[in-house]
Amino acid sequence: MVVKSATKKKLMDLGIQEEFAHRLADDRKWDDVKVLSAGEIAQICATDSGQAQKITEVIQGSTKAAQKQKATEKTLIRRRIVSRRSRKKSILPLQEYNVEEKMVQILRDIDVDNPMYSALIDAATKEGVNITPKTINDIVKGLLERGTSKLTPAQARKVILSADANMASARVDPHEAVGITTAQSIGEPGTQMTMRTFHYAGVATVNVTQGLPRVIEIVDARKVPKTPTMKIYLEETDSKGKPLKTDEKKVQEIAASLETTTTRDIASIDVDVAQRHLNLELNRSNLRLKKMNGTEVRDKLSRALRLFIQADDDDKPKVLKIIPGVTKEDDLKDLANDPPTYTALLQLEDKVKKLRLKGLPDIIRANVQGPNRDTGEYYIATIGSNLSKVSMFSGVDRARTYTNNINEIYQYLGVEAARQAIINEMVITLEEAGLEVDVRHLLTVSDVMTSEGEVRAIGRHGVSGTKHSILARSAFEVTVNHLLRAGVIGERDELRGVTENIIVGQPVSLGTGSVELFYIPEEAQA
Amino acid sequence: MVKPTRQHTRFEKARIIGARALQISMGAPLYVSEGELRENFMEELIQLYGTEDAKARFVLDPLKIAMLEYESHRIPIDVDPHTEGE
Repeated sequence: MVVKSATKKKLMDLGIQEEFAHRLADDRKWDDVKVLSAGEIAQICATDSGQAQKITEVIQGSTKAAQKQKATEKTLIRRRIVSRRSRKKSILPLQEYNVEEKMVQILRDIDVDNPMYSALIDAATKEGVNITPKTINDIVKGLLERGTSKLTPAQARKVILSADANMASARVDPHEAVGITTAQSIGEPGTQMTMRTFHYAGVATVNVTQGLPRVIEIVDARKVPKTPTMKIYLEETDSKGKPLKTDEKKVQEIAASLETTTTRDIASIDVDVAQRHLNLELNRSNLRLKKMNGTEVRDKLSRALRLFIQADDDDKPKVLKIIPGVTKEDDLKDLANDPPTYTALLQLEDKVKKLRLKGLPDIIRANVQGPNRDTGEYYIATIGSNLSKVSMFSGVDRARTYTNNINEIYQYLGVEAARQAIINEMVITLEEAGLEVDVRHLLTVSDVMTSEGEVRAIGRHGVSGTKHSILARSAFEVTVNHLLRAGVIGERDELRGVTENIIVGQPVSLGTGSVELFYIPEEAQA
Repeated sequence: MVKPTRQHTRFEKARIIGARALQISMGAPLYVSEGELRENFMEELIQLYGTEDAKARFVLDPLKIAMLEYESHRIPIDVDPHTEGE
């Protein structure tokens, strides 16, 4: 027989004599001991019932105390969860759809005063043809290019009817398998894309992912693209009413204030281990490049680190000395008694190195591009993207500023903007590769990705993985898991999609398969 | 005459003709007369049976007959149930 030493120790801690403890712990765990009755204990320990009664009381008393402690712990946890829930943000109400405001937006880029425009609108309403203002505007533009500037009502009618016929022939039939057509139409030219395209897209030092890798990136809905870039356009005039976007110096200045500047970019950092301080030697030419000066650096550093910073020259500092733990000038006196530790010094060095003195986070570099040959406008091309912060910067034209980070657009401007961004990015990359893919295919892809209110990837974690039908999901990946889960829960499958019907062996709900026939009895025949 | 309520899409057209051709192939009475068939498929009949026999026989591909019936709007099948006011 083996005596459990842990149990014995526990019993002795409760104040039970060693002799009894030894006998009780003999081949018994604590869980076995605590359920023993007084009679059993008397038997084991070979004592009278009075002694045994005392021992049971001691053992049971200790277990009760432990239970009590556990119970209080549980309620504490529960309370914490409750308080966390109450802090949850309330859901914002849906915004009302303002038709008039929307109409103003729609008509913003349209030349409403053109006589041809109104003539075509009149003809369309007369003929009962449903045609959007934008399409009519496009027709007007085309007509202007051909030198027409006026339309008689008869001509307008002809134009509208011909446009309507063209649109009808371009329209896709109901039940057409557009998704398959899209997949093929993007896939086939995709095979012609070079696998890896390293291409400097015209702009110096800005290298953007292109070709197939970029298409995959868009379709996968990656949170951050491999090469995030922005094109920042500026407003016509600054706050003082002076020209801004055509003034290279001012644009240069804005670019400098956008770009992230760390301490390392403008100074060489020396760690003086013996004296326990940091020496920053400011680099003059780099400072000038970043449009900063010594005092500014000193102020920013001292504010960020909450430390007093010594300078060799108060007006034009060149060398800055930082001592860990010295928050004001008076602290310098106490330094001899209480010198900073070595670890504090290394921590400070780390902090100083990474400190952002100027610029916006994630904007790694900002270059001024231009001027535009026609307008003389400069713009800023960046490596790294931060749409929300850049948009808040004064002087930036938010309407034209562009980023290739789709997730950022989704976060800052919403799904509809993200949908358009996906289309734009795909058009750009496909065009760059010299491939001609109809936009409508890209529209389909973009719609599928964004139709659920967020940008979903095409694949396991996105569109294919979140399908409603169990059979369709299990046909894609991890078949058994999906079927098992659905079986346990008791899910239903409405057999609406294509995959489900193929599995079941029914005609699919596409094309001919989705047509339902009716017999027309003789009375109903004309 | 059974005019469709609207122009059929190519899927609907294919489905209607297919359904009708199946009926014809199984011996359903035709909505077109023998004369009409001869008129439309003379060359075909000659090719199939020779100049002499073509005058007596008119067995044809049921799909072709169904298409002829469809073109002349005689198939009492539509994608719309035509049930007015119900």
